[in-house]
Amino acid sequence: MTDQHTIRRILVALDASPASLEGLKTAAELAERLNAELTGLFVEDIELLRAVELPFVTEIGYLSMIGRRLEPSRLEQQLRGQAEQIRRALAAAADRRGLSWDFRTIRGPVARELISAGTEADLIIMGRSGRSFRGSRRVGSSVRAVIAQRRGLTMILHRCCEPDQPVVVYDGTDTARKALKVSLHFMVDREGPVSVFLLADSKAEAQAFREAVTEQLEPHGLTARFRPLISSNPMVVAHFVGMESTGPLLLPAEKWSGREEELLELVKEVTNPVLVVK
Amino acid sequence: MMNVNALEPEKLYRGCNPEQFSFETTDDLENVAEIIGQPRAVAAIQFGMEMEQEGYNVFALGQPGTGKYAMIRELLRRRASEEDVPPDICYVYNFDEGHKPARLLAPSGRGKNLSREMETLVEEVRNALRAAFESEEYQNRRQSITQEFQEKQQEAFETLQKKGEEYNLSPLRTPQGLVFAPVKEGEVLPPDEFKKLPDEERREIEKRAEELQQEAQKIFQKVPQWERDLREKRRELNKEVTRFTVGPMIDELKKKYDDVEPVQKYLEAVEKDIVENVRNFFLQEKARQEGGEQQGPAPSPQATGAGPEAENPALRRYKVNVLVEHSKSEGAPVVFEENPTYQNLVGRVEHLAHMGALITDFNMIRPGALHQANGGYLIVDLLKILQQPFAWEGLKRALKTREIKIESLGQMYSYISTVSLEPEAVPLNVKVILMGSPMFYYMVRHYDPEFADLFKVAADFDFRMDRNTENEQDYVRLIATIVHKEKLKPFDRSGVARVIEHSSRMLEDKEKLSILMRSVADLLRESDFWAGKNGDAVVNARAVQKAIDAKFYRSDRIREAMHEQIQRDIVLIDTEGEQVAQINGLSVMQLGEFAFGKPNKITARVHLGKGNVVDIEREVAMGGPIHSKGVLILAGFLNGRYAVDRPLSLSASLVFEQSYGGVEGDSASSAELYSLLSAISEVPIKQSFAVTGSVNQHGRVQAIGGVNEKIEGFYDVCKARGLTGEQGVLIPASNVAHLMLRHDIIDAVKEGRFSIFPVETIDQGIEILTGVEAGEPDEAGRYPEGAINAKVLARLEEMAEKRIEFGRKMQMEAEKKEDE
Repeated sequence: MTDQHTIRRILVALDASPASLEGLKTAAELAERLNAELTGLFVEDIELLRAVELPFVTEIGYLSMIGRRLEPSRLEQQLRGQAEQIRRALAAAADRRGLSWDFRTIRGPVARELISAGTEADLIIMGRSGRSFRGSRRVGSSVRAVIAQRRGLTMILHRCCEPDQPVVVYDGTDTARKALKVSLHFMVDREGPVSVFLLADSKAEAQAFREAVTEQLEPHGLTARFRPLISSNPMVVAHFVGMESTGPLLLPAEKWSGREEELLELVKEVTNPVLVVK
Repeated sequence: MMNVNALEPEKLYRGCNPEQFSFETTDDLENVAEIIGQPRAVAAIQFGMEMEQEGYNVFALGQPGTGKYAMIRELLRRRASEEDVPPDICYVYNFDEGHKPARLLAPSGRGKNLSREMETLVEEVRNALRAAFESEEYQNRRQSITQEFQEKQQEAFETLQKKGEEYNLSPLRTPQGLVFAPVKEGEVLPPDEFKKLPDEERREIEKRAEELQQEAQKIFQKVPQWERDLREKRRELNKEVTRFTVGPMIDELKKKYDDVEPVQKYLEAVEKDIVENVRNFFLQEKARQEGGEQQGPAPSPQATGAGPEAENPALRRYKVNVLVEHSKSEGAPVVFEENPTYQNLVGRVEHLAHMGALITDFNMIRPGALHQANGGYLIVDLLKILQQPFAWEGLKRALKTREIKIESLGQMYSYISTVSLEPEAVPLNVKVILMGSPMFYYMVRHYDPEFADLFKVAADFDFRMDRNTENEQDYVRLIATIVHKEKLKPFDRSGVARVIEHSSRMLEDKEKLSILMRSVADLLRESDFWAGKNGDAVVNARAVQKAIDAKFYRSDRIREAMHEQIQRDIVLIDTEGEQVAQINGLSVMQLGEFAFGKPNKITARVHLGKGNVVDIEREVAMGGPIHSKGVLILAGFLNGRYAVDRPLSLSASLVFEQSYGGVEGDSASSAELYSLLSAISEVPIKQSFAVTGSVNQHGRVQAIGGVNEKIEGFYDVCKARGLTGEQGVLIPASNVAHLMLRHDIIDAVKEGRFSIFPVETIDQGIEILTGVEAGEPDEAGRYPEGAINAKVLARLEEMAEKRIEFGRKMQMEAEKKEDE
């Protein structure tokens, strides 16, 4: 594995949503395993702060279910509270594992700040739904923006998982080869076969992919367990991945270049964490 | 002179002739199957066992060491083996009231099976449920329920979102809720720009925002109800799947117990409970998922691969706690409770300290002896049960109510306030056999009014049996049985004969044999030991004698010390010569099991007086009441014989010389009378004799206890000083039947160096002691001259005269004083 694919810094986006806290657990687990630095990032959404300054904006409480005026000062106080809560959760998770960590709070547009902070990190981990409606299965707007704009590794998840048993979608692209390399980080004790889903247009191509994967894994003493994917339809992929493993799905983004909506649909359908490799 | 002859040697001992036995050693003999020597007790116990009415429990009273326990156990064992095996006693979870565990009685041996089958059932149910909940059918149905909810929710929010997009208003999450803000080119409109907008546009935005907020509010209000519906639908689905999965498994188990109604009912309750609480089966797996999103009862694929799991506490409720099981029992149980504490009798509920609190459940109910013995017999020692707080009351309560109710003492007396269990009572059908000494029996019977209602049968164990030829043969087999059971070396005929002889000696009765089995067994064991020391393979009379002697020696320190004091003339005892008003009495000291005799010098003094005999021992409160009674009898005798027509004008004092420890018993009263007669008549008593025996007011000498020890005690003193041939002991004639003397004394008697005289009256005794005729009164009541009685009478008359004379003189002096 080249240095290019070594994960030394992990950035975890935290917004106090259940999904982001699940992401924290996975991030801490992975940081421990890879001996990586862990950075927690809380973005105070500038949009939100701006919104509450509008005189007519009323907050509908989830629990109270009533509309009330939310003063900017009160919101800032609440955000500080959230930041503190997140910092404590991060400190607890990191200290338990003896990780090197830091925590940053930035005010700004969420997606932009994430992308900006993410340039220093080898991997960003973020919750899937983010700030969308509760109960919604939509992919959050920040996730959309990060997937669209970021170069590098981005993991999207909506519940904690042991980062074991990776499933790699292999389509012969450069990012697929990269994904295969990255998958080695997720192999516990480097044992057992790597699950590889072959996304090929023909049998011959599938066979070629098989050989390429085998060749790539061989130096690491690993073998692959191949599964042919008949379609890149998100529903189909989601179904087979769910059957195969609970671990992360490594998705080479090259194939979906220009088809971001389709990629996002896949992220939405798969219950496993999705690691978008660019 | 009345001629009383010294006893012949053969009267001093009843030997047992080994030649009468046909066996060589006890190995030739069979064990006794029947109970020997206790016909009365056996009849009582059998009666108690057979009487089925309430309260016919048995109290076995007898001296410790009579072998009560072994006998009772044997009797009960024989009867119990013919009786039915009682049902197994189990406790199961009470699905209606968790803190009141339900009892479950299953036919013998099947409780344990049920317990095992329930464990298997739970395991199988768990696997079956796991499979059912992982099945495609379940997952699809579950998914469709979730889908329905999600679609409903999504639809609502999508509509809202769409509307927001139409209105250029974007929903934004705040830490506690949601706001809608106008957007321009994907960003929230800054307030400054908003202010710059035309009034109308602003009002329009505000109006639309208001509209969206209200809609959002409506959706939020609906969500909880949707969630409730979702949960309810999932629950119903889970119940249905569980019912279909578990039903056939329970039915299969029910078939196995179709003849046991309580088990049927229990299994029905189990089925209902599993359906209601199916989540319990996956609690641990849930916990292991570390707060994973709730997915209903379906386990994650990770958990399905898990190996054997630690016990799931929520599934403990499906266990069967078998308190008593009889799978290997033959007949009714016979239980002896060695340590009858309250809890050991009625059972207990154990607790476990968990996070600083005490917790328990029905699996921690433990049986008591009453559970174990239910349907059979329970043997308990009375003294032990009385020593344990609450135990006696607990036993009585159980017998009265005919049920075993486990109640924590701590709760009963409010010592602790931990939540505990109230297990359902178990019906009790038991015969209790209490064992204890007669003293305790009579005491408890007197002081506890409930006792007579609950223990109506008294089995009185004897400690002795008649010594006749037939019984001797039985006794031999009894000895053989103990030898076999204790795995001792075989006893040959001489050894057995010596044991029989010593058995009579232990009771001090030629006509009886001891059935104090503890003492007999001790003798057998110790004889075996000494035979082994001697390298003998068979225990013979020599080994038995060695065991007797060694035991005597071990206990002999104080006797030896007292004997030494006599030899060194620290305690003054004369064994030669003659003395007026002085005689050797004999006393017995009992130190635990060990008794020995020793001579005591008794002296008397007489003087003019009003006819009273002063017991110095009593005056200083060192004499017991029986001793005092004996002394008062002496006064009765003197008055009756010598002072019919004139007052007894003497006073006498009697004392045990050098006695520092108190005197009790009347066995010295004849000796005291002899010394008194010697003091009055001034005829000396031969100090070579010692005397024992009580006396009545007519001068008849009566039987006393410890005759063998007393004779041996005086013999040892005389022997140490050298036997003169003059020495001997006077004993009551009625005690001859009790003589089982040491062989060295019998040898001395044979050689004419020591004598034992059986005496019936005081007159016989005084003649032997003084060598002077006692004398019979003639018709006028006069005794022949020179006879002791004549001398006594003369002295008494003389004293009476003196007293009259003294009285007259005193009167004259008084009159003279008056005249003056």
